[in-house]
Amino acid sequence: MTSPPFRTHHAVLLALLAGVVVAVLAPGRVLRPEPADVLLALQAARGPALPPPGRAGAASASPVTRYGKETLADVIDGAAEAYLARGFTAAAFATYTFDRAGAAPVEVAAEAHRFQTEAGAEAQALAERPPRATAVAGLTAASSDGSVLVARAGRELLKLTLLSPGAAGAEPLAALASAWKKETP
Amino acid sequence: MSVYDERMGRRQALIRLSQAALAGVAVVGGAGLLLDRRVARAEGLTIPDWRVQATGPAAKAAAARGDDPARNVARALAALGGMGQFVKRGETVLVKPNVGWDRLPEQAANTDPDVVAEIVRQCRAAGAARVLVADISCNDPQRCFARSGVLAKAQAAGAEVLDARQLKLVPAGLTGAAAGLEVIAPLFEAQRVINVPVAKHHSLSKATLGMKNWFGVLGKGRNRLHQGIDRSIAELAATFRPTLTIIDASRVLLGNGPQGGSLDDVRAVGAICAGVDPVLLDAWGAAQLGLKPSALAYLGEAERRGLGHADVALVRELGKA
Repeated sequence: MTSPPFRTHHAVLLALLAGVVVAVLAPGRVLRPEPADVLLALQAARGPALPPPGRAGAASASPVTRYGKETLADVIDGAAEAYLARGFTAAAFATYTFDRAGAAPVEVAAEAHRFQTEAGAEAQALAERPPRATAVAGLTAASSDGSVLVARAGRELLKLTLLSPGAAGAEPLAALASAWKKETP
Repeated sequence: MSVYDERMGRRQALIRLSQAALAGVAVVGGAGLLLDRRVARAEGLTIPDWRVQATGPAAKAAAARGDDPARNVARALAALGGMGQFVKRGETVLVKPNVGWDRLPEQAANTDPDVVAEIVRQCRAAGAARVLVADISCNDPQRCFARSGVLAKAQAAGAEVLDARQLKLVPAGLTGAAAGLEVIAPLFEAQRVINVPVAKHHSLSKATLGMKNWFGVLGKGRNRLHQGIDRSIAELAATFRPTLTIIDASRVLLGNGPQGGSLDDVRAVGAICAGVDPVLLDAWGAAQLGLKPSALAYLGEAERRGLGHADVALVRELGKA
C-alpha cells in the first residue's frame, strides 16, 4: 500500500489547523487572569451584592431577596419608575441587625441597585440623597443624614435606611457601606 | 357528482342537510361555551358598595388637630355624628390602613398605629362584631406590621390583623387597568369598610392618600396600574366606595415617598380628617402636604366621574382640642 501524494491543499489544511491551535493556546498562556479579578467578574455576573453580616460588623442579616426590572415595583411600589427611567437593571435587598451592649439591637434595611451606566446610578443617588445629608468620613461618593445613607460605586448604588431612629445609627450605616464598597466591582 | 348536481336524490340531500346542521350546532354551541367561560372569568365577584346614607345634617368631612392622634380621630368622628352613624351592631368592619413599608411610625410611611387602634375601638364601641385590619404590604408583611406598630396596637384594641400571609385573594369584577386582578377576600366579608391612609409624598402620583390606598387590596400584577396612574387611581376610587375615609396626617412624609426613611422628610402636622367624600378627603390630605388639589391629576379625574368635590372649604375644621 502506498501513501497518497502530498498535495498543496493538504498543506493549506495543516496551516489552518496550526493557526487554530495557536489561537486557542496563546491567550491562555499570555492572559492568565488574577483569581481576584475572576471572583469580581463572577460577582458582577451574579448581580448587585450585599456584604455578609460578619464583614459589616452585624450580628445577622435576613436572606437576600433579588429583584429585576419586572419585579422592582413589588418592593418599592411607584418609586420603581424613577429607577427604571435611569436604567435600573437589578437589585438585592436585606435587613441587617447590629447588636449593642446594654441596648436594643439596631436594624438597617439595605438595598443594592445596579444601573446600566454610572450616570444612571449617580442620578438616582442624587435623587435619593436626604435633604440634610453630609459626606461620610472615609467613604467616597457617600452621604448620610444619620437615618439614611446613600453611596455609589461605579454603576452600583447602595441605600441604607436605619430602622431604629433615635439609636446611634451612624456607625452601623458607615460600617455596612464600607463593607459594601470593598465587595463592589 | 357535484353538490350542485341536479340529479342528487332526496335521500342524499337530507344526509347533507343533516351534516350541515350538526356542524352548525357544534360550532355555535362550542363558541357559546367558550364565551360563557370567558365572561365568567372577567366578571368575578362584584365589589360591594359600603357607603351608608347620612341621617342628619352632619358635615361631609371633619378635621381635628392636636398632639394625640387617637383623640383627633375621636373628635373628627364625633363631628360626623359618631361611629354609630356608620357601623351597626353585629356588623363586620374592615379597616384598611397603609402598612406597606418596613418602617417605624416616626418615618411616616405607614398609617399611625394609634390612629388604627382608635378606629378599631370606635367600631367595637359601636357594636361591630368583628373588626378586621388588613393590607398587602410592599415589604416583608411580617416586618411591616410589626415595625409599624399596627399589629400590636390594633390587636390590643380588639381587631383581627391580617397581613399578606393570611389574606386570601379572590377574583373580582374590576374594570379598567385593574381588570383581571384579584382582591383580598375580607372585602366580601365586611359590611362596612373604612379606608385609613397616611398622607405622604408619592414619586409618581405626587401624593398617596385615600384613593391610592386601594392598591393595597389588590393582588399580584397591581404594578401595571402605575402606567397611567392618575386614571388608574380614579378607576379604583369609582370601584371601591368606602363607608368612611380617615386621612392620617399625624405625621406626613414630604419627600422620597412612598417608602420614605429619612426623618428629614417627615413633618409633624398633628391632624386627622374623617369623612364620606373620598375626593374631598384627598383634597384635604393634599393640603397637609402643601399641595393644591389641582396638583393631583387623579383628583380632577375623580371629580369628573362624580365621586366627590375637591373643595377643602367643605371640611369642617375643628381646630385644636
